Amino acid sequence: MELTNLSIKQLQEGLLAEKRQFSAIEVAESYLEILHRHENKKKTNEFVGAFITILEDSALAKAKELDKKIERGDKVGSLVGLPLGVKDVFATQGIITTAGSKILENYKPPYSATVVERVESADVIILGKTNCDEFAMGTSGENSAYYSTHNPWDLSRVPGGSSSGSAAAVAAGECLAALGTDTGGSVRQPAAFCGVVGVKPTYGRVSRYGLIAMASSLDQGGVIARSVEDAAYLLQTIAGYDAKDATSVDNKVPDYIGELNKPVKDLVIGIPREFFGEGMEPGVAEAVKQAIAEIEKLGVKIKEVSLPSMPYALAAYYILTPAEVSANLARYDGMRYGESARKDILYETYARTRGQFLGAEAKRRIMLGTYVLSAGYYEAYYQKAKSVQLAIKHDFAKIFEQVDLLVTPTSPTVAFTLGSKVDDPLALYLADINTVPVNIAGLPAISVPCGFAAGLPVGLQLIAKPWAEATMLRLAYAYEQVTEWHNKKPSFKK
Amino acid sequence: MKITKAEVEHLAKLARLQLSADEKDRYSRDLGEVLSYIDKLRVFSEGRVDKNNFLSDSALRLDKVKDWPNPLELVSLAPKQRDNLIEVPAVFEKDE
Repeated sequence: MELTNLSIKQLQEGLLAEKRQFSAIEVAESYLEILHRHENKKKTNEFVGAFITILEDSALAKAKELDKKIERGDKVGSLVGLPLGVKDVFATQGIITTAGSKILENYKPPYSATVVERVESADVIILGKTNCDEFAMGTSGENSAYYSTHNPWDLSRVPGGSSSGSAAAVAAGECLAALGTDTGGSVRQPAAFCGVVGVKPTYGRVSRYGLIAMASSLDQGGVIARSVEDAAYLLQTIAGYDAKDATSVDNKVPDYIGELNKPVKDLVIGIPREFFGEGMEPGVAEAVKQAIAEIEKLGVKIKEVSLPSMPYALAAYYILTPAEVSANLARYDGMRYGESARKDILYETYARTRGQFLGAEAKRRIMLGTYVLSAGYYEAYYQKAKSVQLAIKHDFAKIFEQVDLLVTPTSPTVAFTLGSKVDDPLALYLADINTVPVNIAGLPAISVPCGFAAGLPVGLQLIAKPWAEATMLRLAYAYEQVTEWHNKKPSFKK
Repeated sequence: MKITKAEVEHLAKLARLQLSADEKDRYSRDLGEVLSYIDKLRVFSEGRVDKNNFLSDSALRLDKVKDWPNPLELVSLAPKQRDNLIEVPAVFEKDE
């Protein structure tokens, strides 16, 4: 039995069977072996660079503890023994949490994110903290202050971002699943580029407590997994109200796993034409077209729809997000925690600390945010962007009166070459053109593998109305049952 | 759309960011490009948007003080400390 090929369900069954088929420590060791193979910088023909911190000792200790519990017949958590990667923007108590930034290079949070507490009490085994764009700002992973993550399907290409390490680690088999965050596409776009499943829940579905803030009104924790079923298991554990997050919503969490097998044939699917615009690669268009034909065969009704405000979404996003970034990143001032370039004069301490320890994209967004919020520009930019946001919400709500789900390409392109866009911030921003509207409207969405273009994975995005994660997972699951894309393994070619 | 070097310097001052000469050049160009793209919002009509809706989904929590289990641990994270306090440069300058 190949221990690193098991689904979450198979893992649970094998660990908890009356006659145990394997131990948690065997599973953890098998994953760590793969992880080490792809995290050795000297081995450039295999290096993925998906992790910033590897937690081998604590992972093995936890596995041993779980094995003892299982042997004794003690009660164990719902995700027992699941080898998990955690994006380095989730605070982990006593474990360095960098957010991909040099300013937090030595930062050990005094508390854990609620999401981390939840997966820990479900008895996962955290293998490490995954690499990401600095403060989750980026679409390629290249804004990490440590190193760029490589795409397991082609090591010369980007894995997408900002949950670059989480997506690449899952694709490379370095962990079974991973936690990510999605402010404008940061779970879905790297999932699409790496050929894995990525779920961005409804804003308010998953607690943001302990999630290092980028744009608080849009940030949302999510999951990256090899299959829709695995994603449903993980989402089940992290979803739900948390009094510590004021924007968390007290809605009942449905039984996502139980809902997976319900019929899909009465669903109505909308195809919003604005998501198939210019810049879409022909290979992506072809794969998505075939996926839609596959979905139609499941018996769902397909309907063409329109989202007239969509062409303004990305522009609005690059006002709203930098505005919030400029405020949220003001806390890195070299006084209370994080790195500091101390001077006797207060202003100089601030400016030097931030100038020295923040990366290029962080500075760019702080500057942009400061600009759009400054006197005289606020109405022209911020207020206008808030109006666009309302129009987008309104357009989606209108469409969802006629359809249950929307289907689009996750990204207009496949993974691009490392370094090819680093000097062109706007080109990098455009990589999120199809994912950003979802965040602006606070909706849930999933990206599932739907084929290949020139040997690189293509992602299909399903968008649902607020709180309808179960519907979206159900159709994604039904689609997965009739296709083989999610079972393909990367080649690590260069 | 262009952002002048003087504007970049002003923004950097407001944002408390020390920038090198290269960075100033770069951000003057980058910001200009991004703002040109954002400019497409100019043609977006706000007519159908109710601005009173902006804050409709805000949530507030109770303004209640709670104890933190280990306050000294928080202080210990600060780059500079003295007697369990966080040491910072003077906020007010001496009146000569």
